[in-house]
Amino acid sequence: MKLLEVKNLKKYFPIKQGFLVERVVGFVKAVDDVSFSVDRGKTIGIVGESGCGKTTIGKSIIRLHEVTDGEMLIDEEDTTFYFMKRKRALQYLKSKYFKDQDFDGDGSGLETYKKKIHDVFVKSDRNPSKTLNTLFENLEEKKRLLRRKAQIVFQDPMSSLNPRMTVGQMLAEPLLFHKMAEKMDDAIAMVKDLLVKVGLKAYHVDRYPHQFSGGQRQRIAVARAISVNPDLIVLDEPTSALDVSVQAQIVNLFEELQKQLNAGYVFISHNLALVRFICQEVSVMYLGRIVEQGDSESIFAAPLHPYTKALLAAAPVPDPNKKRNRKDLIGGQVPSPINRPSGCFFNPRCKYRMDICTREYPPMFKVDQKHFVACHLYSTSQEQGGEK
Amino acid sequence: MQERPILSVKNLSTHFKMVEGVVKAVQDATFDLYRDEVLGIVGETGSGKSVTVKAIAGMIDNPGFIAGGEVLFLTDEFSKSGEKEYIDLAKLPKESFSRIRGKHIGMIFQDPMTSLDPMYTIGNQMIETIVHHKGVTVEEARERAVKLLEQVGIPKPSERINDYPFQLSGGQRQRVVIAIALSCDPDILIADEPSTALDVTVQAQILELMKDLQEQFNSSMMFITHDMAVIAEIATKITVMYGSYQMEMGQSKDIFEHPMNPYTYALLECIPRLDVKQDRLLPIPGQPPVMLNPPDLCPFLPRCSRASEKCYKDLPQLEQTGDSHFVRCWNPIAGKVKLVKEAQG
Repeated sequence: MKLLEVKNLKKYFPIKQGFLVERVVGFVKAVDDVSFSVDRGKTIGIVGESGCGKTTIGKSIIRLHEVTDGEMLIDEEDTTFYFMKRKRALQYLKSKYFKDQDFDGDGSGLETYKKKIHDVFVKSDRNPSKTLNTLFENLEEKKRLLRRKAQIVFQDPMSSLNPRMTVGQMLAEPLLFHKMAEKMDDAIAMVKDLLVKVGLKAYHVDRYPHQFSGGQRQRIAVARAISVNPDLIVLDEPTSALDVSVQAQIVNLFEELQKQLNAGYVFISHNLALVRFICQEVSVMYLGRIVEQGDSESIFAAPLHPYTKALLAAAPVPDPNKKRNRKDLIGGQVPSPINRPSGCFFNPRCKYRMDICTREYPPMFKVDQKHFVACHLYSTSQEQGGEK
Repeated sequence: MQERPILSVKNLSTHFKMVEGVVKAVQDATFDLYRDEVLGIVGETGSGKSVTVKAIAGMIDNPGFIAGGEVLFLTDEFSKSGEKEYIDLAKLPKESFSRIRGKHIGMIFQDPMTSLDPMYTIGNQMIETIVHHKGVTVEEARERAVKLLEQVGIPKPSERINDYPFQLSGGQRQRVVIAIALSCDPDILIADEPSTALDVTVQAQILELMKDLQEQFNSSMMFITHDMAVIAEIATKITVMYGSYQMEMGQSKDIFEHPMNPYTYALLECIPRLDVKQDRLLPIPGQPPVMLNPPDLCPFLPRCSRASEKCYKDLPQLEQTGDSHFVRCWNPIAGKVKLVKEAQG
């Protein structure tokens, strides 16, 4: 069973203009049609340069953003509408299960949608709205469960930890909220265990964040994320604010915890070497879309998309004898996500540009069992991947 | 090398007086910089790498002060005979520094948005520098500015010169900063994490550009970074700093192929690598040192796996062990060491 399935996720941020009366004049398409899935005990990596939408994906997964479109399934349960306003949630569910006309129509498609309802909800009920309503039953509890299941660790522990709370208060709060501990005393005892688990000492429980070093603070943030036994942890550049000598400690901590919790990780980073080390599967993003997706080894050993090649060629290697592969380097910079190039977004910087690249955005082509690439170069020889 | 070094730093120490005590940011920094050399200073946060170059460029302000040592710089700026002679930058008064900084020492900082003035066009800022140091007319300076922008790879330089910094992208801004640093043909170019704020593909462009320009302008460079991979790419000579001390110094190859200081070795072991598949990273246990009132011992001691009794008594000195290879350690690692990269399979 897939732990997390993200299907055609879209997140657009409106650009507003005007004084007093604001009008929406355009959209920043931060994430555009992104699909991937995460298994328990596995780590998938999302890499890309700044502004490619990788953090937006992370925040969408744990619902810090309401998504524009797309579906998110956790343990095969549709959770997309959990945090929507009721009206929008109904709209979403209707459009998903009943396809416009047959729901509000004159009843011509009645039989088909009744069957659909039956398939979807098992229960047979004469009234479809009532059936929909069953999805909203216990919504508060479901939300709570989702909040417990999906956790996040942010980049900068100094801004993600509350400077006015002690470690004990900070870590006890989720335990009490999720009713994992009855009383404060129990919670504090659990916090002490947690601190030891992430490599700190039990007596750190009464200290404030400023009394720790950067690496220790990140350990606290990790302890907070794992305190509620989550199934899914989003790691949003968790080590980029740390020194390399400490980074290795934190990375090893993630690996150990993954074995204990059997959690799925979404690892967001711009550090390719780190992604190669930690992830089993990798998605490379460019301007809000995934350009290449596959298992880590095949992507790093044999990158296909010209952008992935450029990224790998650009990343410096700690060996003075190895010369950079200048052939794959690219010039220019990432175009604005408001005003994206027509066709393939990468075409203005691409060396292998063809006519079709300026006209059509390439679909995902399947080049291997586990390797997908969105590039017209692979359209002729390879069979199309279809639904991914 | 027979020629005289262009910059010779001897036992340079820089301290900061704080309410809580004295922060010894840099202690006993010693190195020579020759023409055409790229000296890489690599170290973690708070190791004193930025303060070292700031002390050289006379940019240490209160509460900081240079506590000792010499910074000998070979220049004809103050000499009456026109001959090049050594002057001690550590004792140079602040007012005279404007004749050195920007003219003989060009500087590039990490974040181009803070080193460029948002209120003036990039042309204005470039011309100002050139006119001030070279004493040419504004027209001549503009011509030179356009030529420089072309050299650093800005398209349509004669139009872009009228742009404000916010109209340029991050990579382009950094190119402009490089152009300003090079505008007066400096003898030394100091680059303090010039590529850290940039994306990988742009970082690669900037590094390639700096390598090309350094050859073209025939100047020396000091390159500061925390990234071992970047330093491997650009430096000919490397000094590794940790907790205010230079731990090791040597030719780039020597440092990467047989590091002698346990810290350098551990550092190379714990970085994830793109070119090799690793099973496990070997982290350095413990935390980086606190710089407030440290004991006069090796700063790496609490985290070191090779520590011996002697380490707890005396501070080791930076000693020459081979041809231009210096190390500060009582128990250096001898002989060639196999690093992860050789276990490639």
